[in-house]
Amino acid sequence: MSGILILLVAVPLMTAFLLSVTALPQKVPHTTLMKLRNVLSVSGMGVLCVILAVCAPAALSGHVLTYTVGGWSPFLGVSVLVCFLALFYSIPHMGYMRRMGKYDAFYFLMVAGIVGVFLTRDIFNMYVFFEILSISVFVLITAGEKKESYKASLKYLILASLSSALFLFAVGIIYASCGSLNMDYAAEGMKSMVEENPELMYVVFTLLLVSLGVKTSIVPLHFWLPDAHSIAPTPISAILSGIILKVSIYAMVRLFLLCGWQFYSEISPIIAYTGAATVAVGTLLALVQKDIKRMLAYSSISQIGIIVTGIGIGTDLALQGALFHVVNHALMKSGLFLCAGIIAGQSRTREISKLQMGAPGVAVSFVVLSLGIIGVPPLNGFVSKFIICYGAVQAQYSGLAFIILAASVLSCGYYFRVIQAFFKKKKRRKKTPMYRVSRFMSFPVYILAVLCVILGLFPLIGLQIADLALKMVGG
Amino acid sequence: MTWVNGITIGIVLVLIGFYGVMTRKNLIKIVLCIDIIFLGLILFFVSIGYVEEGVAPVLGEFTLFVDPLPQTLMLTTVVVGLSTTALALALIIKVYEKYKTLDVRELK
Repeated sequence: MSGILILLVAVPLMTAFLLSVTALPQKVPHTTLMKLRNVLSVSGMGVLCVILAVCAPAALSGHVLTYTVGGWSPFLGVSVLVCFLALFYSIPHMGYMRRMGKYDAFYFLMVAGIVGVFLTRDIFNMYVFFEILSISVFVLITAGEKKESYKASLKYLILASLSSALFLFAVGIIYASCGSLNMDYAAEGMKSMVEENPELMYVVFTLLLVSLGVKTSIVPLHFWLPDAHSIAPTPISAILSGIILKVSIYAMVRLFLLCGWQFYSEISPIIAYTGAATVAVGTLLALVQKDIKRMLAYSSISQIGIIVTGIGIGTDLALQGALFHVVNHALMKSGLFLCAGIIAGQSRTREISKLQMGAPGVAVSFVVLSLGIIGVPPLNGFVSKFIICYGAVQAQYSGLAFIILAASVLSCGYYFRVIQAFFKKKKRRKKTPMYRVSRFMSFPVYILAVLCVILGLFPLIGLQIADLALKMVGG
Repeated sequence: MTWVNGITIGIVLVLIGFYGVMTRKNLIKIVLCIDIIFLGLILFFVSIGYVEEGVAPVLGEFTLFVDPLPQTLMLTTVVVGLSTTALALALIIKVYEKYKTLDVRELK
């Protein structure tokens, strides 16, 4: 039963290998190879989902599956789901890039990295999986082969290498003082470290905060995100904003809680206030953007800020809300990016004021998803934001609750600007745009929108997910 | 216990690397500085496991031996650093083709 967990990492790795082999034969026609790759990628993801489904009943009933180093987290299910949907989106979309065969191979390497970070129970393994994840992301960002994409990728690469260097430094200090890299043993070591050597503990905390802060783009370290997220091809933007930021958030919760509650309550105000600053900066900068994908990227920064604030408040209620918001934001923002990709493709521009409605189904999903992010009651964003704000007020952080609410109101400003553009009078063009929306592209969007409504109507499902994740992080 | 040991030199190398990343203007030099940071970290890690007069715990009789775990971990880090550097240099080639410059100030 527990041996199956290894397969969760091994399957995407194997698929990546097989996909890279398909680039080798010279004489086979491209169409055959493309079909082969499609079959391989979809079946790889399918197998991954089946394995997850096999593990799910045990994990959902509250057991933490372990196999020497692993654990199962409900976030994993959400991530794999979103990756699967984005893969469908990229089937018709990425034709030009996939001819080389590298897109799919790196896509699966990335999935292996994501799964690995969620599963691992060893701090050094976490670093290695982060590196697998980031190296494949650097390549995937350049998949559009636009001029700016190389610059954005290089910028991200340099910052991410610096952040992993800091992470590795922290890992070294933890190993030197605790003598173990296993999270369970390290947690005990770190608890005694807090008592004996608090200065060193502050050093470790600062290193981890800065390094994961770069990866999650909390405020003074956010400047790489808009470039990388807006220039990457659409399915990759969706995964970058939806999943990869969440992976770092997960690592953050996991590692900060290792220090024990006593130390955590000392340092948590710092996290809460940086989170609030992130909310403010992200929201204000999103208001002035003209490019729809850039606007979505800044909106991601502000939503990440809300999650980090929830983590920083640190009460059970706020943490639960934050983890629920992680799930919600993963669904909503990846859906929004996919919608934006379709809409921008149809209106042949990414400038917000020139956007057109295009396919009504996609436009409706965009409206639903953006209302979810703003936090309108029957949708999922409302529930999680409400819980975070409630937790904030309960923990005497009323100012932070005010900032989150104000940011939600302001976010109406930038989302309604896009929606307004759908409804303005169309100028009849002489040439009708011949941009065909493939079913592969629109279905993932519908599924994500429906999931948002379901999670909004039945928030208990999401709360259970968050509870499980919290239990998982705690022990 | 002198101050001149692997741990302090490793940390100093890391700091030198960070200084270089912040001050250099040439992209290739920045990537080399990142390499220096990783070299410093590798030295730091390997020195953590060092035991005075310890031997490598391979075959044979020994009582005092160095901790082999950091060394094995660092093999992984070497590989990771190598692939990151290779990818960074490849990207730099592409950036140079598109922008005809390696200066960070001109790339803005």
